[in-house]
Amino acid sequence: MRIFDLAVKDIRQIVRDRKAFLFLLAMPITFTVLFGIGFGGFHAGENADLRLPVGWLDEDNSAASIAMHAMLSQSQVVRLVDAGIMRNELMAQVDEGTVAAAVIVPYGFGGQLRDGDVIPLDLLADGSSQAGFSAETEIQAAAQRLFAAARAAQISAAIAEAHGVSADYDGALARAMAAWSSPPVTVYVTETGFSAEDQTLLGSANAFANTSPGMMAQFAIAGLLSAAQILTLERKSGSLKRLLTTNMSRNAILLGHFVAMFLIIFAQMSLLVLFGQLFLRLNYFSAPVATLLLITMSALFSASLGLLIGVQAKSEEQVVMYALVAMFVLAALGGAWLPLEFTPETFQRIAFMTPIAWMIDGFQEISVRGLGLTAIADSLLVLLLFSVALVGLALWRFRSEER
Amino acid sequence: MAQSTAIVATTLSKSFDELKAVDAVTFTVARGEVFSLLGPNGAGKSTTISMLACLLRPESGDATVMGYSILDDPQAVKACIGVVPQEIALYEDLSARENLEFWGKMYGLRGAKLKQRVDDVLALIGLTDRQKDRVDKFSGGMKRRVNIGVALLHTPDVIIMDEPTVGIDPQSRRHILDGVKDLNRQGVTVLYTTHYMEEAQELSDHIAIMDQGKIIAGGTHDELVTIVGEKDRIEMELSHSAPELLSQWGALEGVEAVSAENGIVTVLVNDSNRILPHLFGAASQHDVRITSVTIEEPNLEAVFLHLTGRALRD
Amino acid sequence: MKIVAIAVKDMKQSSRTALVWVFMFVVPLGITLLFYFMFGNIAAGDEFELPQTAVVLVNQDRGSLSGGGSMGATVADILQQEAFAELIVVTESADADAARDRVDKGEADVALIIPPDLTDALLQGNGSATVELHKDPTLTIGPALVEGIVSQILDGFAGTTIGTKVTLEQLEAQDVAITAQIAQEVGMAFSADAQTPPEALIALSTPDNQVEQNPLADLLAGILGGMMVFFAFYTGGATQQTILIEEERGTLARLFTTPTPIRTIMGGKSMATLFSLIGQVVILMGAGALVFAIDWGEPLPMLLAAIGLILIAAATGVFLVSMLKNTRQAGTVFGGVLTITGMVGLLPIFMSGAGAPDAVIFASLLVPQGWAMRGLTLSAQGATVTEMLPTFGVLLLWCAVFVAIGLTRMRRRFA
Repeated sequence: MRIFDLAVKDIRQIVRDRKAFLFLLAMPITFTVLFGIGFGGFHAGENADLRLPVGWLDEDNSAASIAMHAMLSQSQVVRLVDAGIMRNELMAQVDEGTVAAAVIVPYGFGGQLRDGDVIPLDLLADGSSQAGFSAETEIQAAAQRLFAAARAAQISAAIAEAHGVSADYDGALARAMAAWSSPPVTVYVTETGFSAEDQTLLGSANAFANTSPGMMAQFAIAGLLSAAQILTLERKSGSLKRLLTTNMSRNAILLGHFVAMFLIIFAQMSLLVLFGQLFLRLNYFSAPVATLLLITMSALFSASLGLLIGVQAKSEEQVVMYALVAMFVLAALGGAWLPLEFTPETFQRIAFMTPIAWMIDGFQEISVRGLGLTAIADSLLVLLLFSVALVGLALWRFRSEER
Repeated sequence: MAQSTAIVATTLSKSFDELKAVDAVTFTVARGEVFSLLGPNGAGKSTTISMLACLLRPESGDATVMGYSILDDPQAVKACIGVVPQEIALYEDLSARENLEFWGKMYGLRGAKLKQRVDDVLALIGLTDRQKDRVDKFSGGMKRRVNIGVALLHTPDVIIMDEPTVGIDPQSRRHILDGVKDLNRQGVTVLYTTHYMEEAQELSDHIAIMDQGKIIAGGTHDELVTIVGEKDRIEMELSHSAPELLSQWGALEGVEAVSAENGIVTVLVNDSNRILPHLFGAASQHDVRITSVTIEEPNLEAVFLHLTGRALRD
Repeated sequence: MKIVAIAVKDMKQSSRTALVWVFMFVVPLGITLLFYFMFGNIAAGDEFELPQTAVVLVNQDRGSLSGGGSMGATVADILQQEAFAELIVVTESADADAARDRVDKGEADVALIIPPDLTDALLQGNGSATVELHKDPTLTIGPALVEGIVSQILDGFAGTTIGTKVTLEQLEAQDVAITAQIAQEVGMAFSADAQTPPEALIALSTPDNQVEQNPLADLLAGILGGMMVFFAFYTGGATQQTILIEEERGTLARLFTTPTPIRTIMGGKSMATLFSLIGQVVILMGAGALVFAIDWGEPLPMLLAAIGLILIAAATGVFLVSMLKNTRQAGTVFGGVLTITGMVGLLPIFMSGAGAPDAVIFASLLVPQGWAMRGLTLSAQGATVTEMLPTFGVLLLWCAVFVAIGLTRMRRRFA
């Protein structure tokens, strides 16, 4: 019982420290939202046009260029912005990022195409940016279809002439372009965790899928700042020595602090999960038991780390140092800032040596893949093992140091 | 004139909001003497010396230190004083030597002179062997010594010490008091504040007693005790109360006053050695036994009690 | 020079705190090193090397071509060509559900299910077949790449189908009787055409300022620059905070008893702040250039960016500390305010790959860290002195306001 009395005392101290709330809630929410916006979350409403703006300059004004314009106007990926300006101005717009890319149909494009030759379209884009790459892919595909249609019109005209009929190149081109609006074969994308019916909002389309668990993991460590400082404060004020004069065992004292840290982090993560569910449309509640267990294990891991920091640190300054360094290193390494899929395989393997990667993976299994307990069993186990190891280390340090 | 006086304080006053902390305080400290400001906590001693050290600006009044006005020439005042604050004001993460070197520079010392003075002070405070150790590794007494040493670096004309013995062990206190006497012997003027009357009594050439922002009495120790009339105070406990005995005692020659309170009889006399036998004789005549006797010679405590009706340590 | 003695004493004290070293140098360089290992492979080749995407292919195509096989089998063959081997690893499976299940379990990244009617749809030209691409929702790049490859292959096939169909319709509309011979002639023409290799349809040019000579160094410039900005503000705050520490320990009052004017004391502290910041920025930028081959830009613009950062970090320190009552509050402010504003100001760095949206850039310019980072970024991108001046001007303005407020408050407090 005294363990809980000690825990209650700790929690009271933590709650009275206003900066605790900053680290526990205000900062993780702020950064989840900001990172989310950065990766394309939160749009100005359901009807907003999310397509990438692409500048369009037609120097050719041929049937082919008009057909190309018509096809790109139907695109789900890009939105044409009729520039009607000079090349260099368009280049400047791409430079400034006003448009994701720009297409220039050079003079003579349609005429050459009619003759079976190609003058390439000029595309201005920064292929290294995601927006530029997406625009490039879409325009490349459209150009390929236009080229195919032009070839069809050309062959069709040639055969017609061979059979003594007048060639109707433009009619054939129009017919071919029309045919491309319902091609004989299409690719349909489905995702784990989403049945065919609710494909309208794919999980992967949620920009918060990685940021939400990532920031949760990062700030679960930052949240330890105040909690771990309680231990150093206790040491400094002499109340730890005084506690040791009571007949409470060393392990019980440590356990009391541990319980307090666990409860604080558990409450923090629960609130952040709730925030994700309610405001970021992440489906954490699809497997409530699994989510609850994952929060529990994550909080257990964070509290274990906090306990070790509290035991190891000699001053409040050191607590800040250990906690922030642990936070920065684990968050960067574990994929809290940047989805691991962007990193090479070796790095991913290293990432999964940190509990953060397992934590994020577990939350994504639930919220993005729509899976349950069996899918996160490995995450739970890894977090538990880390917790046991850290608590063991903390107990050992506490014993050897205080005697 | 300027050569014979170190400090002249003239009607110094300072208020904090409603509280009049120092109220028209006037005193003079002669060169080469130890001058104590004695008074209970909150009497205004620290505020007074903060003004003399140019930390606080007086509301009214002025003071000169070695002839320089604290209002007009604070930098010159600061150059000729060394202040020992009540709390240990040192950089604990620097070594003793590094502290002394830094503070020496702040007092304007440089180069060989600085090195020489640091060495001298280290020897004086007995920490030459430990000069390279960080101050936070020192005992309380050692820190106190460094704390005082800093104020001696630039060989100031006046040293101002604010309750330097508060909260320390008897041995360290002894060390500090002896140190003050040594400094004084070398001709340094010392302005010392304390609420321990024994310290004021032991160290001081002149003492000013402060209470509630005012100096209520001043002079040498002997001058001050004459305020209460150079009378010995005899306190006695009796086996039982006897009003007739008290009136007989009161009539004895050499007895100034007799009073009884809470079973203790206090008799003020001119010469306790001569009167005491007569007091015992009268008691036996009335069949009263005297169960305890305390004789107190006149002291500053009595002066303070006499002037304020309160004990010094209240 | 008392002012120097105070500065030296302050720096001596700081240098004995492990935390100072950790935040000034260890963390910024450590994180940069981490990113160096994360993306180190960019340095080797010019392309960003992605991990291979595991594709499970289910070919359900029941149609058959005259020469044997099916369109589905052809797709499978193409995907397993050498050309794609670096990007995708294809395994075949007979069962669509089993394939989806493997993706669901995270054993594969993408399941590609070719429908039974693919050959028919392409040969007949009148139905529509749907190829299903079932993907792991936590992945974006790999599946998009597979989708792109598959779409391109299918578009190639569809081109022939559409071409044949359009030509026949066109001839029919012009009253040419479609005999088997004509149909075959048209079919042959398009098959032959499909064999000719496609020409380059697009000439891509990248805007000047985004031509990347050394993409890794550019990435690391962002990371190290960001970390440097982030922690320079801590240095500014922490070194100015010594005045609060001195006030609490009584040494400030003692300093005031020495013949040292207040402006000398403040000046000494500011000098310690500036020296520390100069040391930090010089060492970090130097290490960046030497160890990570970061190009910070031309000497003068780089100098402007560095000076801007040093001044604003110091000024922010003066401003923040003047707002504080004691060191307890300092913990909250440095932990909270500097972390939040720092991360807001550096958000564009984290999103440089995706292209930071206007809202994020705007938010970053509401805090001084954003402007300091802007200066470094501009310089690293090769901006000229003239191009640097507006940003530098804003930084100076910001400094002036912070220093004015800070010094006024400090003077009122300690005078």
